[in-house]
Amino acid sequence: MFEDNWRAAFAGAENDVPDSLWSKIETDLLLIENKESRKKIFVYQRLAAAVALFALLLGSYIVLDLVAVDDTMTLVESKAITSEKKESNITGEDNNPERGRVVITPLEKTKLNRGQKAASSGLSKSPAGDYSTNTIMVSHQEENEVKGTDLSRKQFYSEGHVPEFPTLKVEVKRKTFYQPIFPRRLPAMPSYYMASNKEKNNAKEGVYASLGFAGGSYDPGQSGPIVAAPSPSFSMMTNPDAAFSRAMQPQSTQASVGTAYSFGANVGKQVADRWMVQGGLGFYIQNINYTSNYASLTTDNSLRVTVADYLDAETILTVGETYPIQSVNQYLSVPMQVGYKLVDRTIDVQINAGISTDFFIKNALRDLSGQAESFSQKAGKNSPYRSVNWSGLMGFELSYQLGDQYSLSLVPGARYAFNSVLKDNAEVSYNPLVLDVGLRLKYVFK
Amino acid sequence: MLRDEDLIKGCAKGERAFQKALYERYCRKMMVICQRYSKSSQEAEDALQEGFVKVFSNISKFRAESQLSTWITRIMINTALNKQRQKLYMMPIVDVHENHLVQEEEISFAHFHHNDLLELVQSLPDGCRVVFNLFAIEGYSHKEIGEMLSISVGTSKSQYNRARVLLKAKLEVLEKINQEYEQVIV
Repeated sequence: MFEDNWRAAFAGAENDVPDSLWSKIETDLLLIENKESRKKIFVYQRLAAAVALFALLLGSYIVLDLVAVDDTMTLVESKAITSEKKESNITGEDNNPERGRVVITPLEKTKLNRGQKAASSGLSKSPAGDYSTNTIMVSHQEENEVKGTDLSRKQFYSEGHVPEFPTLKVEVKRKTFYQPIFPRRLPAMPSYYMASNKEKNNAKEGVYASLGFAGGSYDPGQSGPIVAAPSPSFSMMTNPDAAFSRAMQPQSTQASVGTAYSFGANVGKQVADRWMVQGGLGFYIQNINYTSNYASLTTDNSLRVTVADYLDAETILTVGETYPIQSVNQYLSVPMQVGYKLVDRTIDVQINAGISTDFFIKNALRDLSGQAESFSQKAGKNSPYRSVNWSGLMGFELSYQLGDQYSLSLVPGARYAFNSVLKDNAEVSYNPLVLDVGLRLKYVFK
Repeated sequence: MLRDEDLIKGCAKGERAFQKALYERYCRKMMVICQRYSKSSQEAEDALQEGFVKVFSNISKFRAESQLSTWITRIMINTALNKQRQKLYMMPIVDVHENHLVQEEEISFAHFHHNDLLELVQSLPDGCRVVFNLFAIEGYSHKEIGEMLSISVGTSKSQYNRARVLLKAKLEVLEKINQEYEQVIV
């Protein structure tokens, strides 16, 4: 055969190569290595700058946020108005203000233990299963024991005595942000600078895995009939239908925006030209601070019952001073997103959208002043929180290639809860909005 | 003598001694491949240089699914082909209508040195030479060649036939010269 003859003729054929050829190859290799070194140094410089900038912004945000919270704490003054009428007690029979006076104040406090409190107030265990923060701080100016009457709530109402309870005046100073004005000094960028001469990077990524973390703002997205309810766990205790409750409606003020942090791992695959599908597992922390004067944290209006138990002709009630609360929600998040590469070059720009299944882990409340004990509640039947939430995800991914298999991505994004994080029977709903920026290191399997 | 595996590991680390050892092991064989696709030795050297730079730059991606020599050969063919593509882009391969029926008269290659044959191949027009190399020596089908060079199957076949006719004629001339030379020697 003609072809076989040719194949056989060239099989194993060798020819000499000029000696200078290796020198040329070596020179080319040196040039490539130098270029790669410069590229690496450039990437590391950019990376260091990006991390420093990110840390600076995050640090500034956190510091500003903390300062703003402290300012709010000092500016909020609670003034327990105890009028002559009040001091002459509810029944108006005894004008001695010192006798049997019960003042709920954070400074002079005597903690009733759970048993005592439950026994004296007739409280049932809260759905959250914990009395730990149901601490009523009672001080006795003369006698160190409570001389309450057995005035029950029914009796109290049937006699038509609707007491005037101390009201709380809350002054909230808003955070003031000074928006700097940057005059535009540079001319608009000519369009030809925006066109890239670089060739497209059409290589398919295949399967990839990534690790990342993110930080940003957290807006609880409160809506509902209750004004100034501080958090889902607290909002459950008020009953707006009752005059008593309205009078005793606890007051709070809440930072409008908190902070959110997350870290997790993702796995993805390029399914078509420019189209990606990715999913993963993440841990989300949503943190917000506010002030409160709540004395009880149960979910069944137990504050009202408790106060009623202490009301008699010789008792005066005041609401304690406000105290700062830190509320932290934790979620396990399983995101599923579809991505489309808008720009497929050295720096890729990808738009991502999808949904996330968020499993509620727990809510932790901490009194920053130390007056009240910490409180946490997990998901479950008795929890006011939904165990599973659904959130919409939207964001961009700006990726820079670090070699053949690694890339570093800056991931600004938004997460919005489709449903309220509280169960349907709550009188208030919370649809949190998280705006964050993350860093993600991606490894492409080849 | 270093094994291919050791050479691969050394080259993947960028160690120059291993790179040179690999180059010296394969450069002569690869030179013939580059020469087959090129019009001149200078073109072949350029292709060989570019091909080895690609080998060293991508050797970390070599997965040992094939032999190292096969992998390097494929890189050399692609590199040489790319160089020819640039020329073919300027002078596109077109159908050749002067398809003479090739007589299936066997010519023995035993008397020819591979460099004589190489000269014959290099003397072919660019389009014919590429198609001939891909079909006759590398063993690609006309359909595959059509996809590689963005030409039709018919064009590939006609180019190959033309190459075959030209080569046959040149071989006959070469054979005659050889015979006359042998007679002179005898």
